Amino acid sequence: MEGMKTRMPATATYQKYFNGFLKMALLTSLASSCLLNAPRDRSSSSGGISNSPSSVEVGYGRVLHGHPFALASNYSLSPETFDLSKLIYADTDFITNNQFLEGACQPNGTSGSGYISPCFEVRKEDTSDQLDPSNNKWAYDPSSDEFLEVNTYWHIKYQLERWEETLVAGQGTAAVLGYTTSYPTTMFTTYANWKSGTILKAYSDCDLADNAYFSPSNYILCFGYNSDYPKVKYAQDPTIIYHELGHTFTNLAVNIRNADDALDTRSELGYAGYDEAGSINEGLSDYYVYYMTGGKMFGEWALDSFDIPYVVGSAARPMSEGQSIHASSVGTDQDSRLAYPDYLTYDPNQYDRLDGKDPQEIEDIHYAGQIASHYWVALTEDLMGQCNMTQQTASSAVMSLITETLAELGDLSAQGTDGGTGRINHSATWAKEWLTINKPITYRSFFQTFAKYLRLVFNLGAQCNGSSYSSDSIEQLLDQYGLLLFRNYNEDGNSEAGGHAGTHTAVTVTNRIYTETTSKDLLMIDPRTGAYDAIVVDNRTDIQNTITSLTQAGIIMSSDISTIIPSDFKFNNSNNKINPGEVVALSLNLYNDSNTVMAGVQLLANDWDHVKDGKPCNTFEDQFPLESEGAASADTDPAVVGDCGYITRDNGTSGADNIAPICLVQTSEDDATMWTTQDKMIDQINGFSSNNCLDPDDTQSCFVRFIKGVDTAFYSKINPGMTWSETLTYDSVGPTYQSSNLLFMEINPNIQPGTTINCRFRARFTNCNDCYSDSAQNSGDDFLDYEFSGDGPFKIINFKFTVNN
Amino acid sequence: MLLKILKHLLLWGLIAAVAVFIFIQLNKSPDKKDWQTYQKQKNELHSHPSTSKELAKVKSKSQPTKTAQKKVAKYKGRRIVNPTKKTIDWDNIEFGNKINPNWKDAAAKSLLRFQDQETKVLIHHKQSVIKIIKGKAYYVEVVIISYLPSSGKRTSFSAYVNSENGNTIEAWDRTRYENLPSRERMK
Repeated sequence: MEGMKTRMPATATYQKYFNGFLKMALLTSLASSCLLNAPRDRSSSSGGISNSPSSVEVGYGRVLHGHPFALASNYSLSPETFDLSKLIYADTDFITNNQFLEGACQPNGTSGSGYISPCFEVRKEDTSDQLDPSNNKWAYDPSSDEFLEVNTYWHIKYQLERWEETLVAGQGTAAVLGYTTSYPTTMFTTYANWKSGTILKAYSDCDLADNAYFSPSNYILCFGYNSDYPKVKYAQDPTIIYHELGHTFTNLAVNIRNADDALDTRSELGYAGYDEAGSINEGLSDYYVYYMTGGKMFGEWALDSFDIPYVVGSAARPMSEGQSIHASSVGTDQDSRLAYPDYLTYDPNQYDRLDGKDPQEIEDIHYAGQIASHYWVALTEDLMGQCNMTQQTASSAVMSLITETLAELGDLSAQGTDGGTGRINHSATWAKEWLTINKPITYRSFFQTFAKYLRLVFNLGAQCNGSSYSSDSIEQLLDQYGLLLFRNYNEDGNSEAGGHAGTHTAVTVTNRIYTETTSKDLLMIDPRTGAYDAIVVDNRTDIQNTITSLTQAGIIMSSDISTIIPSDFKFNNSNNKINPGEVVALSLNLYNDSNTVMAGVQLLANDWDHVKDGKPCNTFEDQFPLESEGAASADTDPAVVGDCGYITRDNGTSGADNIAPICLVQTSEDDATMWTTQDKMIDQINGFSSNNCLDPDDTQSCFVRFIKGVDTAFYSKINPGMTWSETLTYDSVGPTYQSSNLLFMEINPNIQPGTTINCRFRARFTNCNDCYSDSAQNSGDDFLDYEFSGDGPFKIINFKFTVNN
Repeated sequence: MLLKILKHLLLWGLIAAVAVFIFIQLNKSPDKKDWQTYQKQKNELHSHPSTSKELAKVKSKSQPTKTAQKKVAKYKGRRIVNPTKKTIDWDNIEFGNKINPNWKDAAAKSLLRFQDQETKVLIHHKQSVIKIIKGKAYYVEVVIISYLPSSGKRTSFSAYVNSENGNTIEAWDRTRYENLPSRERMK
């Protein structure tokens, strides 16, 4: 130990109970010694450090203070012969005085509120015992499993401490400034800073090839390995740990209000496959790396292919336009930012570019999330420059704003803030439906709410070095990223009770230079000659495999598939037509008839308010059907409950005005063709009873229906004059469909072949200029949540088909 | 001599009894009884109490001392889940289902309906509640469902399950794999 430097625990230089980011700036400057990759006493490059118990004091050990490439300053490090003992520092790190690798949540210290001990633990894998060094020293051979456990533990502890400080500072700032915040007042006394009653288990060396996961139900983090080079472990790369633990914190943030309210159910930021909420989640996890380290690359070690040149086959991701990995068209100038929506499908590793080809566009939440991470890094740097903040202070402030945003958007009580009349997600009864289908978190909704809090803290709250960070700065940077997608800051929320009477500060129109929006009217089924309306997938194996994996993932529930559909899908005959008894996957061939990229396109197949007394209303833009074809009486009074012009305020809960399934059937009455709800057809079929329906208790969905959980589809973007499929076609090969691109429909085995069905889908997209507000009404304030039960925010897309014989 | 042998036997018997007791206690998980494993084999449903090996893969670790401390309303010993927070007239409210003691079997049958042979599903019963859905009261079980497929990724999610027919009413907290873009495509 002679001559060996030892360090205090990372928290030792932090004080607790500060309540403002200005104060935090002072404190974090004291703590800057715990930044990763800071100059330290390095081992010699030849011999390496002998990380033996005798070389450390009780409670101490050594960890990797960066990923191996960075620590070696050598991006050609061999994945087979690398020696971690040459990459650790001689300085030791405080690990824990606990018997095991267990740590506490202590946002307000060991005696303050929110204290939970232990709240996390680390072990090698699920079947391993906890590490228990007899001498209470945590120094192990860097190539050992034990070292990896200690390394994982230290980084988790470090990130948890940082996040807790951000929460305390954020809540304190809101209290000092006195604005309406989504941080619950009782956040720490109700232990909403963690998942109630659960210890996070982190496995440093999971038996999992080329992957990692966070499982929020049983609170497990799993770090896998590189299958080409099994010696390369994900947990050797701190950026992977920060990213994955970032998902844990995101899950906590989006549920802070739900946990404070002691709800069982929880919100999620993103679901299966592709959606914008999932993209923001991935971008945020990348930003966690910058938040923790100041570094602007993620996964350089663990996700590298170790091919030469190193970028080929890598899945590393940048967080700033200045990184050399980017295409030459990307830069930090305002007109070359990684902007929405052009870069939603951009893969920075640019394999194709090496061959002189146009790069392939990929629909993937990790790549789409880069827009968010790049924006947050650029904002952090702007705050550092304009407000004279350190990277740590500025990134903590940004993280707090993100947390506030998530807490509001994820609130299943529909309140969004303490008290008040509610502002978000329609109602407690329908909050999940709104969050997943009717009004999910998108780039628009997220950054509108984020901008509101940014303005409250840094503009109105003057937290920019005692001055005001201008609204123009807020709006212009968002605009450079194509994210100034909203007309106002929507401070008054979207509840019916609140209406449009509150504040909704307008965005300065002249700040919108790069952000492009267009009308929903220009989204349609491909109208070109010879184009198809939809792709129908009824291949038995494909359907079976997809349903199997979606039920395992909890996206769809087996019990939501009718018991009269055979579990072996024996009616699925792979003829790409819709046949009785099948489960089919459907993708409408949506076409962008505008001159602007449409992004975040969503197709909805859930019930909505379009029927009166079993007859379809034809008072909407599609004017379907004709009155002579069975339309309801054309009563359009928006104030008369039940009229076609009236939109249900409670999504049909009370029965005063109902919602209905989207698919209508064609019947014949007195030789006339009529359109009606499905229940009306039951009586017209001899010997048919409601017991023959897909669900006997739901006769309006008797013959065809969409399966819950896969009754909405997302598409990253559709280029002008193209379909989604054409947008993502590369080398004449079309895109691979993810389940999120498809809608799944059940067809009653008892339906008569030849039956004609019309399904009345609703569609919209994120950069739509008439899907979220009407510029001519309510001074451009956003639509209220109940309006998303109707047609106003959507383009109606009718899809007609005849059941095949 | 006989007395000595008897003493020895008694002593060893006592030691064995203590050892068995300690073994049982060590292997006894306070909530292990709440776990049940179901497996699909030759299209038949088989079940057994979840083994330690199975539990190691999916079991969360509880932190019993700290939970949210807001007041919890109860009826018939079950916590009430009432999203609207409207007052409930318990004398007149209609119940939409009954309690079926075999709800777990029914749930497993449904959960394994579309799964391959050999796939296991573990059901961890967390709590019994009464949930108010559109003005009706329902007996509901709060569970964590974990799939252990014979090949492929393990997944878990939390769910409300109908106490009568085992149908899943709502799911949340789904496992989030990174699922990075295929390396094959990259190369």
